[in-house]
Amino acid sequence: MTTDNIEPIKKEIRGYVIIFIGIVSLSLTAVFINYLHLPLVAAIILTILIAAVQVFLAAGYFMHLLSEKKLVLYIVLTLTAILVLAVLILPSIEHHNTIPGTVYTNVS
Amino acid sequence: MSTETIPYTVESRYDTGLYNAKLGIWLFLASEAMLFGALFSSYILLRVGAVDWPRGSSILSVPLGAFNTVLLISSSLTMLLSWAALRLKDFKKFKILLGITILLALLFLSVKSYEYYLKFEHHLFASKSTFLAIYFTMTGLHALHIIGGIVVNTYLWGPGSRMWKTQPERFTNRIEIAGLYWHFVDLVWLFLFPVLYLL
Repeated sequence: MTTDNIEPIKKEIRGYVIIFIGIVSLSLTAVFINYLHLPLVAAIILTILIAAVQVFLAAGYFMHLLSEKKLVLYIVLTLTAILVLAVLILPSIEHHNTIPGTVYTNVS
Repeated sequence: MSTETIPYTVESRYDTGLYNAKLGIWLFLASEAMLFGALFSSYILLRVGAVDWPRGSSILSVPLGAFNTVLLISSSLTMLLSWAALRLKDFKKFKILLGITILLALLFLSVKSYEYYLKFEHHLFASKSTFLAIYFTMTGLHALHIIGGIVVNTYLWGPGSRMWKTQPERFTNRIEIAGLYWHFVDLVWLFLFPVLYLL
């Protein structure tokens, strides 16, 4: 292996270590926020936001989604994201019975 | 005996731009995302529909959960470094780093088992409450994924590593794929920990 090939890999390794420190720091921040005993809504928003940034960093850099620009991957992931969002949102919509025009009767 | 070889184990396909195993693992991870997505959806529905829902930190140990989070993120880093070591043709370093990854995963499972033990000791079973039911379901399924990862990584660390002598590039790709799965398991935990322990 030539030094031309070694240097980019070593640079990648330094990047991985920086991302690792970032993700660990964000986890500790989330734990710290937990000890502040914030109101539930504020705690949920902050904690989920931190988790989302962590997942972005892990997927983007550890799983190389940001550098590997392959159309097929984006198609698979977009379809997955749509289906996961549907799985997350549709039951909640049904749960609240917000479908207009539907008449619900109490059978109990 | 057939002399045909499996195509696209090292070189990328002209149409996808990826070698076959990488596309395969991404399709598998997509199905896994939907599996865990359905569980998160169940969690939200159960929580929204509940009259009373405990804060995770009142039942679960946040320090133990946080410690496990650091362990899993560290194992993701060592997994990446083991792949980088192979790309640098340093097989000895690869063995050490993948070995550390496996040990960190085993340590994660030990801490998780200890947490389960603490719950069972206080008679806190899945049948006790909806919170505990979804906690044991989600963390149990995640633990099964960790066990699966340990089995694959141990094979690649032990007998599977013989491939390095005959087909080093294909073996390096196998480590990359095992790594993608491992990072996904880490990524799921990055959501599980705050949702179950902190909120």
